[in-house]
Amino acid sequence: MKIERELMRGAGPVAVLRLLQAGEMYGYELAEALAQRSDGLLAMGHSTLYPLLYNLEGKGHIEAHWTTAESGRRRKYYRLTDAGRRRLAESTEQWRTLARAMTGLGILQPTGGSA
Amino acid sequence: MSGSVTRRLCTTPLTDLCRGRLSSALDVEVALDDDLPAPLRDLVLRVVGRTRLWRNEKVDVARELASHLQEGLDAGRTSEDLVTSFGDVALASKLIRRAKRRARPPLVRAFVCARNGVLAILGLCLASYLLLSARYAIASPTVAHDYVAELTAPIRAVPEADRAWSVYLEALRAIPPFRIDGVLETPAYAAHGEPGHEAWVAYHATTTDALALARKAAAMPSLGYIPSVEPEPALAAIRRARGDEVAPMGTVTDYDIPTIAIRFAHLPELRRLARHLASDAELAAVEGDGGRVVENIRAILGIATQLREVPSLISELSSMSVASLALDTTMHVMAVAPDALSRAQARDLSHAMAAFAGGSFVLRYDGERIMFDDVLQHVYTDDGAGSGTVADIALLRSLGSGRPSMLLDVATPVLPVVVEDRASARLTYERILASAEAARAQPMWERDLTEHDRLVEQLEASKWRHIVVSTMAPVFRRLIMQPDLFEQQRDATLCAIALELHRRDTVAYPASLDELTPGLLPTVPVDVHTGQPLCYRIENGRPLLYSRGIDRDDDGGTPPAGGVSGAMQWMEPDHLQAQFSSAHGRRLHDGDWILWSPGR
Repeated sequence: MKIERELMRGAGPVAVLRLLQAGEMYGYELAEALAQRSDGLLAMGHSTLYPLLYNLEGKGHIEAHWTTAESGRRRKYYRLTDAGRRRLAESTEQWRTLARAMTGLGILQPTGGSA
Repeated sequence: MSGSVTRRLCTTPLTDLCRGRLSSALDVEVALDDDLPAPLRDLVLRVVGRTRLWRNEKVDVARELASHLQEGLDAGRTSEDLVTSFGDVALASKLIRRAKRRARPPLVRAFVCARNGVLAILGLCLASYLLLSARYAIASPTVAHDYVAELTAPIRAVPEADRAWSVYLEALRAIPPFRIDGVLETPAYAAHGEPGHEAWVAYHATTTDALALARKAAAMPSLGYIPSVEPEPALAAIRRARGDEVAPMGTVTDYDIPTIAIRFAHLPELRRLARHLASDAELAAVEGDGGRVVENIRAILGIATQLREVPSLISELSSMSVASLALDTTMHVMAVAPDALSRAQARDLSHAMAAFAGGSFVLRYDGERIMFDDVLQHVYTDDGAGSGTVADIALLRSLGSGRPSMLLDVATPVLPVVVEDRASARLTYERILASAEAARAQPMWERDLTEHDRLVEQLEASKWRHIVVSTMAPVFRRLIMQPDLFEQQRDATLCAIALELHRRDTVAYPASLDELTPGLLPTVPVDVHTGQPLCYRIENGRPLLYSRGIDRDDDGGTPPAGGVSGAMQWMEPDHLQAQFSSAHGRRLHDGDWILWSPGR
């Protein structure tokens, strides 16, 4: 199932921030993680992922640095900033509120706990 | 690998410099790894190339995309698969561009925004300028009216027999050149005992026929000189014979507006004849020939009257100047030979002077109006409703400094937007003229120039808007005052004649001017500066007649320290006061204007 663009636009940034909460990641790694951990639902191509990362970087939610991996390949790693952490917390709360509302409407099934 | 070597060779520091780049670090192609397959390399270059980002931003994005694609290859994906899964290249470029630009520092964004704003404004200005240039190139004035014909129509209507100009030409032909030791000189009267008196008398004797012709011409009803843009051959021949430099035939002016290009070649010639007549009057007075004195002064006044026939400001001012010569000559005659004139001759002269210009010299601006309308039709387009826009600035250039001006060249197409339109220019000119005429109608001591000065200030404040009017409008402030000073001189001359007649009748000058009325003067003359009677006193048995001057104080008949030469010095108090004060550190007009003080 393909998620509509508007929904992706809201979900994409918070998903990326959530992944980076665990530690710094580079672009390809992020793309793979998004695809795997969302069963392919939040899989992003270059055309979506990198603009999203540059936007978050521009807003100061993440920061990037180039590193040379053991394989000798240069990678650009992204990590969460303090502002990004605050943003993630806010977004998470908003999504939860939304989920509760959706559950109340019977659109989502109650899971009995929070993520 | 060979491609890599070639590329490295092509991006040495020297070749970078030749390509106008300080370093190849900002070269996207160089930034990509050599082992990236061609399709992927091409994909990255296409995406990055379309972002139109700054060079360093492009390199950063290219490196990151290339790294991503390499990871994909390392993970076992094929180039084709990676290209397919990349997504829409155009959309990716657009989103990357937008995101990267948003990520730029606020100061940089502000600078770019300002730069783009400036460029947009410049572009808009350029486009407007091009449009205006096209409009200016297409527009052209419509010259529909022959104003020279209008100007000269009344003169052409005069019968040939009544026209004096041909007689004046005869008189001019009959005047021989005045040479001293073979050098051409301007003839100037030298009184008995003065240096050059004998030479002047000898020369003057040769002008008798010419002066008779001049007197005859001056008594005719019309001058009959028809002004033209072309030099008059007969006059040119006279001037050439006299040794004057004469402009080649056909050389008119740099601009082609007939009323402005008109030659008033008759003016200096008639002034020359008037000076000869004045000299002859002075000689006649010394010789005791009162009849000839009157004839000559009457002739000078006749010339002054005829000069007003051509409606133009320069003719009006020349007329006033020639009439002033008649007044000065009379004053001088009364001073050096007070008994030269009989009572009847003195009265005759008084009546002639009193009647000049209808008794009150009012400057007429008809010629200026005609000239201004001619300028308008040569400078502006005609929209058929009395207005139009500036379409030809050749006149403004000619009447300006005359020097090439790059600023004016560039500004020319914009002038129709900046300079007031034809109807407005006409209105502005008429307002200034009307204010000058209204001020002139007031007595000098009550004159209020506020409105006139306000209008002139407006012209100066919006120089470009009113450039046509400010180029063409004369300095009215001086023109407003000039006739008053002439009238003061005339009143003083008539008063001087009356004083001399009174002295003859009673063997003494009167104690007060009141004694002259009504027998010798209709009224006591008024001081133009105060509106009070002119000041008069007897000093050492001699009369002293004076105006209080522009400071309106009676300084007892004491002229300003340092002296004042000429009536015109009493004209523009504020202006002259400021100039003189700054130059000499004292007030110019702290004194009286001495009008008549024989033997003082």
